[in-house]
Amino acid sequence: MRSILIGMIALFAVSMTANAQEVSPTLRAIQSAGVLKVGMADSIPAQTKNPATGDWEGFNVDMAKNLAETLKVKLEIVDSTWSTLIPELMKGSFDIVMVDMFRTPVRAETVVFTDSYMITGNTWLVRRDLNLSNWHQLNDPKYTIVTIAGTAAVAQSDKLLPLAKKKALVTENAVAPHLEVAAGRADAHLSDFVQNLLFIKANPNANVKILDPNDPIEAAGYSYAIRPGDYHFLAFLNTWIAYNTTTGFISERKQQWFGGK
Amino acid sequence: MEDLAARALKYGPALLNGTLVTLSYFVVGSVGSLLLALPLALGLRTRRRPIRYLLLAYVEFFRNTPLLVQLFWLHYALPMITGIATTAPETAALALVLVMTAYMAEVYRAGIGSVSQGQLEAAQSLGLSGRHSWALLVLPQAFRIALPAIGTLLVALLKATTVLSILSVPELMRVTTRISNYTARPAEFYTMTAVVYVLLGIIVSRCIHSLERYLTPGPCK
Repeated sequence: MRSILIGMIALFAVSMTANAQEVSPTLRAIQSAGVLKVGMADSIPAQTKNPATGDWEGFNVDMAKNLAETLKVKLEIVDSTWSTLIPELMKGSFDIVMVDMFRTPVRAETVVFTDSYMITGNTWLVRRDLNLSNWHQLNDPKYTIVTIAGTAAVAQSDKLLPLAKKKALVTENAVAPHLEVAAGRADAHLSDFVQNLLFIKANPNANVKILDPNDPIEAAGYSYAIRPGDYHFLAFLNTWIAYNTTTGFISERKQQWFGGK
Repeated sequence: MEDLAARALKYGPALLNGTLVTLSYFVVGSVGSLLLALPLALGLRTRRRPIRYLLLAYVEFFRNTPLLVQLFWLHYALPMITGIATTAPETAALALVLVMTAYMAEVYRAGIGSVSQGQLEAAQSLGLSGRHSWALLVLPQAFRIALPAIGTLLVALLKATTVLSILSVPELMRVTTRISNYTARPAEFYTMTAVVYVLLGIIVSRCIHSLERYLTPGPCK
């Protein structure tokens, strides 16, 4: 009888511990602080700080506001760079990275990615004087493909155009590859359609054009990143993404910021 | 042309703020290094080998590693070792002072080495103590001799502040990159920023030159 009683107490204690572990420490910390800290780095139109007003704007800014409202906390966007987003997340400078980041296996060795919230279309920005009927013709050693080192476009360019020459730039300047193509030092660059269009609109005399603008290449999915270990928080975020997909919030914001793709 | 003027007007305040941030790091880096490099330069002359080697190791480490690496190391690796986490602006100021002190100590050391030993001996033969000889004779001359090199170093410091953008410090280059990405007009804004750096560099050089003339005795003053 005594051993049964001890067993029941032990079982109760174990179940209580299990219950305590099920509550996400990240969610608890966010709600007790009353602030959701989100790390962002510039990328138009997903998220960017308007240099004139100092306000953040873009698709992921609307998503971050929605997440903060859902959690009933204030939103604090922490200004970061693409090179330091993951180290800063791991250091604890913010709770989540909400940028247009592709989930790749290499990155997933360090951080945990949510389900994909969006798949966008990429297009090739090429020199205007190139006579090409489709992007497959770029798969030739005589063409040079320019990318920004550390971005998913590097692996994607390698995969799509294995024979072409590659050139990776180390820069925080998002339009540096566009300039390389415009200057004739490279032949093509794979980028989001909106970014390519924005560059052409701002620089109508630049020697560039978008190849197959009506036939974008599907990229890997964009995901948000959190620190490993808190899987309740991950489950919460995935549920939140799924819910906002169902309600149409994500598609509505995508339409607003990325256009009708 | 009107568009360009409108854009310059629109983003002018942001560029001005960036310039002020750049100048504040320049002031912290230059004042910090000008002060800290003196005891370091004197320490490098000590006959106590452990101290001299330790100081030499500091100078060589900071002179021979890129500022970018130092920034990453101070911001991400040091907190893991010491448990002390600094904010991005604190790391940026610390890195600038540490690296510039190493360079400045070498400039001071060269300046001190240029003052002839005979002058020190003459001062002591006139009854001045060792401390007074250094304070009144050696250091003022060494500083004047080192001034052109100090000027070059300060202009280099001004340009080195651009590296701080990697830690999201909102200095001039970070602001320019942001505006350039936002407007997709990098040529315009990098040109404006280049002009600002040229003007600031000229101002620093002129100030050092004026100080040099002021400190130089004789009719050429």
